[in-house]
Amino acid sequence: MKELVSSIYEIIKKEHKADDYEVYISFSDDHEARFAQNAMSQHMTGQIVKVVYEASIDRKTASSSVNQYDEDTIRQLVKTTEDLARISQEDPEYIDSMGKQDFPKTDNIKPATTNLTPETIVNIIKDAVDFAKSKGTKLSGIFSLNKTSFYFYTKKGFEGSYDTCSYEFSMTMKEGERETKVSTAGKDFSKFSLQNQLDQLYSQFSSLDKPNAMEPETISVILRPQAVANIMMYLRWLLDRRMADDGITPLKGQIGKQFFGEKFNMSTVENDDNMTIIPFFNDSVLKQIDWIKDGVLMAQPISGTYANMIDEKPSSMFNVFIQGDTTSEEDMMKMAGRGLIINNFWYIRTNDMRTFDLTGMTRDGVLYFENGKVKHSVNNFRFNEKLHEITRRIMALGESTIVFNSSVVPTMLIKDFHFIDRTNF
Amino acid sequence: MKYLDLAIDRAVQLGAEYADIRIHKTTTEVLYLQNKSIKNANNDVLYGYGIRVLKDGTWGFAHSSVFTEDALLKTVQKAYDTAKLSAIVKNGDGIRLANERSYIASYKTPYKVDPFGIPLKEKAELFLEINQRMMNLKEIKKANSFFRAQKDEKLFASTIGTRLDINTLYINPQITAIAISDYDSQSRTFDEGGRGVGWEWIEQLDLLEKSRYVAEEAVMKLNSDELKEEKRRTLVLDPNHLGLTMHESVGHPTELDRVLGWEADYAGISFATPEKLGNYQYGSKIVNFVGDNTLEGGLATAGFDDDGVPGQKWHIIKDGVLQEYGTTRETAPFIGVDYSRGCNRATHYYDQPINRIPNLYLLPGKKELTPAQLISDTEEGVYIQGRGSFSIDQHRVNFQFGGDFFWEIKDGKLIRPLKKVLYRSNNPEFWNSCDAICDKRFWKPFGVINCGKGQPNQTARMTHGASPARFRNIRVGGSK
Repeated sequence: MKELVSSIYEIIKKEHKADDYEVYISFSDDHEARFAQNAMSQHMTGQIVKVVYEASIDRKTASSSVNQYDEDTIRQLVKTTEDLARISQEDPEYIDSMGKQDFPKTDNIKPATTNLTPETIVNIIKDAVDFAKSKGTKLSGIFSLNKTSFYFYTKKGFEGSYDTCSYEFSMTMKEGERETKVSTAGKDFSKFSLQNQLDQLYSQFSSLDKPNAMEPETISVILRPQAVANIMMYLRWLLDRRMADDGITPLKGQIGKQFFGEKFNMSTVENDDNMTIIPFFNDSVLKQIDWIKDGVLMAQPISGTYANMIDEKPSSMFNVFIQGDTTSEEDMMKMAGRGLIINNFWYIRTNDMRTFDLTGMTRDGVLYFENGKVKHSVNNFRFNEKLHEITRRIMALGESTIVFNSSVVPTMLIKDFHFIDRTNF
Repeated sequence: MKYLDLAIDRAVQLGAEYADIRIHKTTTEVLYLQNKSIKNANNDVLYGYGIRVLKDGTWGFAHSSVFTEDALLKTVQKAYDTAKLSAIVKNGDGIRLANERSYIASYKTPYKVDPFGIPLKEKAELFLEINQRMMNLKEIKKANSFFRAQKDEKLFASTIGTRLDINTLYINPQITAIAISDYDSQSRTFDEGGRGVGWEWIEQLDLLEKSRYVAEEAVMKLNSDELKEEKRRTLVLDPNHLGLTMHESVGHPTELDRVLGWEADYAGISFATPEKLGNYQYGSKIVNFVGDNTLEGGLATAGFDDDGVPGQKWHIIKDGVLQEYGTTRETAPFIGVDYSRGCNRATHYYDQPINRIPNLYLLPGKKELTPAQLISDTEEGVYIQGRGSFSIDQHRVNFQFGGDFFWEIKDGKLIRPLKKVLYRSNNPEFWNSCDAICDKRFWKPFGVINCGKGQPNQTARMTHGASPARFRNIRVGGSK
């Protein structure tokens, strides 16, 4: 692979006439097996190649990409891009490409994952479906496996590459109106246990008897990790420094201030046993950053372009680690007395970026608890909530766990969560 | 092309029950400007082939971008092996495809001016001028322009003898002005969602003129009031807004794969289940929805779908009653139908096609009715233009939508602009509350180019359309 990539890059180096350039080359092997209603529904496999060339001439920039890599195609890629750049317009926010920099070494390749075979994947699905059938339920989901090699070069001297492997597995169990989902992801398949996933799935499913009707109210909620990840991922986007400085989000001038709740800590980490760690982007390299510490906004992601404009260093949110604690769900129920357990959120959208106002709905089952114990399941709800205000109402945190390949988050107990509507089916 | 025959012959030799190959080249050009800076001038080419094999009642799909006979034959083998392997997890005999005849045909999107032939410099100058004009208003602190052109060149062959040569093209211009003050920020956007036409559309649109109202209305919105309370009000919705509303609340629920539960793990399912066909009052009697993959300029108009089924026009909702779904050769037999409506589409060569929303539109009202008459006949309500926040549950029943611009209606007049308006409703309440639709003179198409569905995610495109319409007794307010 490295020889092939070097040969592609050599053509670009030889052919280019640009003042500056960036080159990205990736090879991604994907295998996805989808199943629905207890049967395989799609099964896909193949390799996706991408060669991207971004050229700058007289501070005018353009980029092109191809997925063929014969010599003629790469030559044409260089020519097309540079022709585009020449007839483009000078960019007043132009910056040079990233220069030579060190970046952290990553430990993303795990033999248990890279050695996974299609037969193993199908057998996992078969076992899961057989389990669902034995319970009189229907199972749908996906097992996906990815192996990627990524290379990045700039004319100013950056040369870097990394390899990743990862898997994701999700299952939705359904019978009549009862429906719930579990999902897991990671880079090391040796940590995967189908039995644990099935136990969790069936435990959730069994708890969802016929939902009692409940009207929306402001009430304490225990957000399980999937729900936390789905709502807090909005911070990856909304924390952006430029959007704050422009007045599009409410974070203008908030660095160093207690904008979030004091129990809320969010960082990017250089190492993690479960997450896939990306060591660099095109304008910054990975480093440990505390974005929010004890509720204080410590730092914001800044693009290379904007960092140059405000004389700061660029930084990116390569991954999200939200610090947890040790409070169990049982203890959370006792602390709150009365509330709801939320398995997941769905279709979250911004109502108003300036106020961090979001809307969304619960999904995959909602449980009502009282006097510290689960009583019964209830219907789904819609919420309208301000993201930062949620963090101010954190009462307790559970242990952090991986949800997506780049997110580790805990269970959260939030008081006074604002539901505004029932979602009836 | 020799690869088509080679792949099909090999699949037949291996014993495929059905197989097809799609050689698919996607070329996109994107131009994105923020204020006076060109953030993205991009040309991408994706070229490869995807091979689908049905064996023992299950699918295998393999893709490659390597164009050699050896690579092609290996890809066929991989698709076949994958299908065979999958067959240990199936229900009964597995998948049976709906009946279809073979076709040897070609299709090309009609257009006058090739957008790829317009020099980037000319495009960049136009959009820089647009951004500049929007920023001439001092309250406009951010101006964004976006232009996308895409052409898809497809060769398709299947084991039933179909051979297709399909060339489609679309473009999508968008401009946004963001007005910012110390206390708020509000945007206004011109975005008709793309159309299957050439650069001549840009010339007709007069984007420079549109940039003026976009900027002015962003400022108006910034300085406008919010609704004080949520209560049941009358809504008048413009065609652009209705495009997204019908996409989410009619288009997705009537995709047959969702109805069958095939998207249960992610995108969700549908409340519009088969026993409702022919008897479920989805909307009021004036509500008629048509699926139409023959629509001129439609983003899903391609002659044929990725099953090799020709584009068709059919009622999905007639006189308010659910009639039919959008179907594929794979999904239709599960409800006892032996023909497909031609809704199977893949985004790129490496995607296995899935059941997609067709071009889907609301037929105009049969009686003469202008938007002005519609508003003058409304005592109290809100007129919503454009698209904003949208959120709908995984069964496609309950939803909350915003918009891009809002007017308060009182005593038949637009009395003041509003901001941050949201409405909440559900199926079947919403479409049954429709009591007036303007006539065909005011019907307009609007495209969606970013319809996400499937795992891994695929992004499809389709066109919706409507005349302005009125909805009574809907919960309308702000976010609280």
